[in-house]
Amino acid sequence: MKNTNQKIITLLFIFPLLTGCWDQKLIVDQEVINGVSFDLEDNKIKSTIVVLNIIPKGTNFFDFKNQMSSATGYSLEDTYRELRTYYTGPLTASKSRIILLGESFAKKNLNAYLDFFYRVPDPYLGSKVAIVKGVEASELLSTKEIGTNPVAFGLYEIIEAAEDNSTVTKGTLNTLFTYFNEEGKDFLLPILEKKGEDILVSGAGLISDNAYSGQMISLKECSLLLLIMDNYGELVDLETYLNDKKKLNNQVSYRIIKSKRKFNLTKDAAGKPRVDINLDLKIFLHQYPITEKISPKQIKELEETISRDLTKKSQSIMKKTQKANSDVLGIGRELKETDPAAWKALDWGQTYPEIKINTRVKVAIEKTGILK
Amino acid sequence: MLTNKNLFFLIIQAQIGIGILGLPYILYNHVQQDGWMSLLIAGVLAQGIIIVLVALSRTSPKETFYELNLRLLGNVLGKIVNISYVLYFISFSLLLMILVTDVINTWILHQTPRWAIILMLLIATSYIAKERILTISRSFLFFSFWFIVLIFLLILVYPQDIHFGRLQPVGSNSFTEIIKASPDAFVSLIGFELILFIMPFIKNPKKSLMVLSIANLFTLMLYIFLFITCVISFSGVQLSLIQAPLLYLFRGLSFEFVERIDIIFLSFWIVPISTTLVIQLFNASLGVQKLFSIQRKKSVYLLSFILLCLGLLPINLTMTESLSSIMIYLNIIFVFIFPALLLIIAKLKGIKG
Repeated sequence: MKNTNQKIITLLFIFPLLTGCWDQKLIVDQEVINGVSFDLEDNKIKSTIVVLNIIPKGTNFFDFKNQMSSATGYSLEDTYRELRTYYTGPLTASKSRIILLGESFAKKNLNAYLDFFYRVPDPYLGSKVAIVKGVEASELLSTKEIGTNPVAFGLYEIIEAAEDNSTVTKGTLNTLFTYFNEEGKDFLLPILEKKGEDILVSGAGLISDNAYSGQMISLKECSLLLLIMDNYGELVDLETYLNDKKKLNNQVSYRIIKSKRKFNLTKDAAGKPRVDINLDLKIFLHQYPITEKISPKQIKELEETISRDLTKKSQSIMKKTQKANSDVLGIGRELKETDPAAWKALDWGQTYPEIKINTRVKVAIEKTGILK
Repeated sequence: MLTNKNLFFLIIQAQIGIGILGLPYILYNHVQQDGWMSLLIAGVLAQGIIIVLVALSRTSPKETFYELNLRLLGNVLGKIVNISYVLYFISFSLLLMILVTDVINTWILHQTPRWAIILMLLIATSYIAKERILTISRSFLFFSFWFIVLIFLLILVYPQDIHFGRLQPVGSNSFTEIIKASPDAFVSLIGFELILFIMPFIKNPKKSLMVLSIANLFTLMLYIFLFITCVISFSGVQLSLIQAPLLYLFRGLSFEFVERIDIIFLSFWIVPISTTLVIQLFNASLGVQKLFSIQRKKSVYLLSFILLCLGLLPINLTMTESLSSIMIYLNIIFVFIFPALLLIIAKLKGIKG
């Protein structure tokens, strides 16, 4: 009996300790930020946040309302201080889905501004980050919904879809932290544009030295760039004109089944780095201008046309990255890892636009669909 | 009596604990991507020490280290040494508790005061530490499930955005630099000194050297695997900033239904961390038992009370840091130099077990 009493008393002592009442953070008390955007306005930062309020409407029916507010200040903390006052509970970024950067804001050193997200353990690092072109980033957040999704979720999903379709590389706030601190490698960020009432991912923005270079790779060329980077998504679809004369319905389109990249970093006669990239693609034709039998001879010709076309395109893409001084391939990083002495001797920001990057694409048609 | 299996899990649980959270960060800041070499060197060093410790405990397998001290060094000197060992274990436990509370405070429980966390930790650890060593080892066997979870989670990192090239260039640091960093790695391997205190309880003392070596190898491999995973997933400057790379690694993992693996992981990782504390308490309590001739159960409670009081002291960041740097040297003295001296004395006296 004495033993039982002792046990009960011990338990009574332990239970209050186990509840951890000091650190309760009830979700109903908190205002959960879903989307954040940053713009630059007369040399001040304008932060906008969207908080999703769910309104229950009887059993299993919900409506939602986005509560959006903006504040301007010289630093993120300034704006945060103001933003806090608009909401009934403490703000938390532990579930933010999307972070939008206005074009002018993105041209600043992003690493310095996003520090807040990395330094404390609460913010959610799975958020997608995108640059907004044409309009202010906050304007995108003011859309109520995309499809049937609330805006922040909708934006998250269209970016995710763009990643799957190999428009941009897979990335979150977390991978950005890695890229920011990586010497000799730049990265891509998705570009969002507003077309009428719709929002689309219109390409990949080239980041140079942790700031948006202002130049982008258009939607049509993105997939090829990702192939060259050897960092593509689930689907890679490309298309090629059969000849230059006719544009209307004269395109063959194909899906990449297998891609093999050979990356070769050498030195040229003058001691400058020189890069050769060989892409071996196995493709699957999924659209041909005419529904007819494609003969083996035609397939040979097609392979040549496509190889020539992609080689030409890839050259021009690499030129674009050099113009933007955005080493998305990580050539600098490769040099740093394989030849540290040469890396130290070079100023990569100056060197990258001038080095020779040779690309060659070779295509083999593996399948022609269920039709021959 | 402890079987080989029991001994193995006792040793790995004693070795792996809080150190694993920050180890890649510390090593990277010293020798960048060559940290795994420092780890290897520390592992070889640890192996050498294990040989010494096992040789020492074999000189009289029926005695614990404290009894051996008293017999070899005489009553006065032996007592002084025993007291200093108890103090060493207490300060080790204190540092461990401070580090744990720091991590928990920054990552999960921001507002919970330190004493509450320390109290919870001590209640749980003393509850285990007061038991017989066989009971302790059985519970440790059960807790070792978390190592499988850890390894599984580390493997999940690999499909993410990683770059093996970050391990290059290999050997960019000079050999002396790499050796200089190895004491930092050595701290995380500490724990095998337990063998000195449990030798009388081992069923098969002849096999103990082999079991200890395998346990040490396991820990070392786990650390090297962790270090390499961290280096390939974080870019250079990033890894030199993140104080708890293991948690940050999991912070980036995200699945359809589970997010924030880091916090879930840390909540459970407290178990392997407290096992280290259990071992320290066990070691110290044996000493207290010997010194003051009280029951071991009571000495565990006494030590826990002392640790709780010490934990209430206002300890700031600089004190913690100086304590950890002192600890690095204390570890080498208490775990290696002193037992080695004792072994020499034992051999000179011609005492063989």
